[in-house]
Amino acid sequence: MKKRALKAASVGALGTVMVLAGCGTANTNGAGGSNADNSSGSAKTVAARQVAAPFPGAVPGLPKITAPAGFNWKQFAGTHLTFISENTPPSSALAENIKQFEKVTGITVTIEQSDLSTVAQKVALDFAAKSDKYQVIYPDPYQMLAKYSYDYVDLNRFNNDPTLPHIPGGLNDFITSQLQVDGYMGNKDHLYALPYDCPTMILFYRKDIFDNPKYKAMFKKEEGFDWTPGPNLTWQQYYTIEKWINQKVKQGVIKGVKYGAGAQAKQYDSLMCDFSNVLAAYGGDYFKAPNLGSIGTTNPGPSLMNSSKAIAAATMYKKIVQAAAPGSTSWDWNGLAEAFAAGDIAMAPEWHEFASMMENPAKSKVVGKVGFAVLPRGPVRSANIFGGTGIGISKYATPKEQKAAWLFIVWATSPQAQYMILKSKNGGETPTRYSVYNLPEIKKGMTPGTKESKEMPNLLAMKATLEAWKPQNVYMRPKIPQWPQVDSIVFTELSKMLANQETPAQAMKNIAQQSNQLTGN
Amino acid sequence: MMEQTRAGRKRGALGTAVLYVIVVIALIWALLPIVWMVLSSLKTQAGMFSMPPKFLFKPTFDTYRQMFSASGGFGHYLWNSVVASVLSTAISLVLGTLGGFALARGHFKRGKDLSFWVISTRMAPIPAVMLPLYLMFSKLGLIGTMTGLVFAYTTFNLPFALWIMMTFFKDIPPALEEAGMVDGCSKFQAFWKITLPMAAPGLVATGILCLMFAWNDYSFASVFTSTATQTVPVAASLLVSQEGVQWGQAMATGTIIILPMLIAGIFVRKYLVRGLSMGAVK
Repeated sequence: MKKRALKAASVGALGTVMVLAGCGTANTNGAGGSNADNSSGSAKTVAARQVAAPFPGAVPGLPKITAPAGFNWKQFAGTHLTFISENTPPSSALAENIKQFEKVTGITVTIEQSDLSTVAQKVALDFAAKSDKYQVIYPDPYQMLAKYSYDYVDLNRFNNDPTLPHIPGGLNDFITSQLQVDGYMGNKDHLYALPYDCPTMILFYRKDIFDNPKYKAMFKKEEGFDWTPGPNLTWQQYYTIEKWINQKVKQGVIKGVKYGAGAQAKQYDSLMCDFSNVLAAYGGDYFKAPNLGSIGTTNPGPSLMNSSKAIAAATMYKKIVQAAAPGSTSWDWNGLAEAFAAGDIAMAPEWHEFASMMENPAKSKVVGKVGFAVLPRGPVRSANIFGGTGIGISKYATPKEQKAAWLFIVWATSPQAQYMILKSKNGGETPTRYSVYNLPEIKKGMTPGTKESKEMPNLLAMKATLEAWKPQNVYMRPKIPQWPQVDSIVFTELSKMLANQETPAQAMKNIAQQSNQLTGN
Repeated sequence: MMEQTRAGRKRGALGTAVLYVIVVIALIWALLPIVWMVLSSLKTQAGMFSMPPKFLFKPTFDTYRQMFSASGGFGHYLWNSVVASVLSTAISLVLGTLGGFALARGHFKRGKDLSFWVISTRMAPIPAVMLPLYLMFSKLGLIGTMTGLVFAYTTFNLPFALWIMMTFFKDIPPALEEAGMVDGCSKFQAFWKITLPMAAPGLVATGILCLMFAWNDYSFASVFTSTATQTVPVAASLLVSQEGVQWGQAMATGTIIILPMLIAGIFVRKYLVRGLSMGAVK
């Protein structure tokens, strides 16, 4: 009897030790970011003993990729996945390092890259055909998630499955606003994608011009304010600076640039993005319904583009573009970046990930001369449009492919992989994980002149970008199924306004009218 | 009288001079972008954007070397383009020639409607046929395969080849075949030995046009291919990314896309002109 009681006590003690050990592992792995996984079923995650995955080169201080004890990483060996993605730096970096994943899992992955509109077209066709050609998808929230959310697998299913690996560091380690826009549609019941990349528009400016004491003093004397780009600069002041630099360049006073500012005002998606920064800064938005830019909705409500705020924003935007470099109306983000890198422009709103291009001597004449700040304020706030995307799984993939795809997503969006992508020689891309930004090495890289900033030049833009991501500064365009058409209406009417075919008020009225027709409001 | 002739000569010389000036302007208009592209592909990145532009410089083949290296992988895209365009052209020519001959010589009920129906399949814009083709190809497992791409091109090229060849055959008098048959030819021999050689210019013109469609196509290639089967125009689109435009490679890719068609055009231009003008004058 005593023996039996002793045996039972020993087993109980062993069990307790194992559970505690499991909890300890989970906590250790969560270091650096927020550990808790708030999704339902997280309790199960903690309960199962987690063992580090056999991926090489784990970075200390970042949550590790783990799986339940005894998990066979090779159980889906032989499965082939195709990941369709826009041709972006993170996808190129993943493609470079894909052998790492393939070696551990035995799953082979083809990363197919195209321009975004081709990706959107292929994904739409694949869903229409209910085909599983693409098991892993790069669902742009506005073109591929809002419209086709029902065609993606709910990732909570896998994340809550005690037999599978879970999101390293938990969902809370993703930048909150990015998880909402990239991951959900309509409500937070289903998680369709995990944040993967995070381009955001901020202000690029030439430090050699703006920090020049002679120019700075001259400007302050003539215009009466400090022109240093930062959170207090307004769009009205931006316009004043732009005109002043143009004038001084003509007079031969300022050398080293040709124009005060540039814009990405080509009749294209870039024009809508460029304008949205001013629109939101003036307190305007495209539609009335709440949470449009985060969770998204299928009914955006009536258009707000006929408002006085929208008209004021359009009037200001028109002035800014008309004073900008003459090429502005034919540039998208690439054209603008090239003009900036060629040294033609003193300041411009641009996607933050172009920072690495500015620091690449093969592509840029302004290496070491570029500063970054949040975009100017309007009467209401500074608004910096976000353009990131996640990774999701097609509902039409077979159950085995879906699980294999989950392993791929866990790896590709993990802090470890995000760190690897950031350091890629392929241009890199900034992470979507808090834990990576908490690393001392990464913090150092945000300061110009450090060894880390030279190794990871995209980090130079991160102080401004982290500021831009704050809820009060970030702008998320409406996530609605009709967005691709609304986008087209917006940039078409804006383009007419810039060509003086319409007044700002007429352009806004037309946008409102056409948008309401489209959304049935 | 002499003065009038002199004045006439002057007017003639002036007219010729004006004509030459117009031709030169037209040539510059047409050729400058191509020459610029070819020259840029032989420059360094810095040289490409130097102001004023240089027409005399030391050419470098570094861009081409990089593109055709193992890491560049351009040879793979080129091979895919060659296979897809040549195969689809060959299939379209063979079937189009036989079908065109049948439509030209055969006596069918509602023959005219039939030939119109054939060409009407070409009237739909590419995006309109994309979804049905994708659905079919998806069920047949052809998405992302070379076979799928060849089928897609043939879908568009075949009606065109069939219609064009039909009009060529209609222009050749049937009496020539009948004479051959009187001399002992079978119907097929008459077609093969008499009619087909006479339709050679039409065959060449049709072939070149089919080849050009498949070689330059981006719409089908961007949707129906996968990484392994992507063609040169798709590769060209990948040169524009969030990291900027790879101008050197874009110029070199443009040069490579143009070159085969240019060479083919020079060699067959005699046939092409005859082919395209055949049937124009009765």
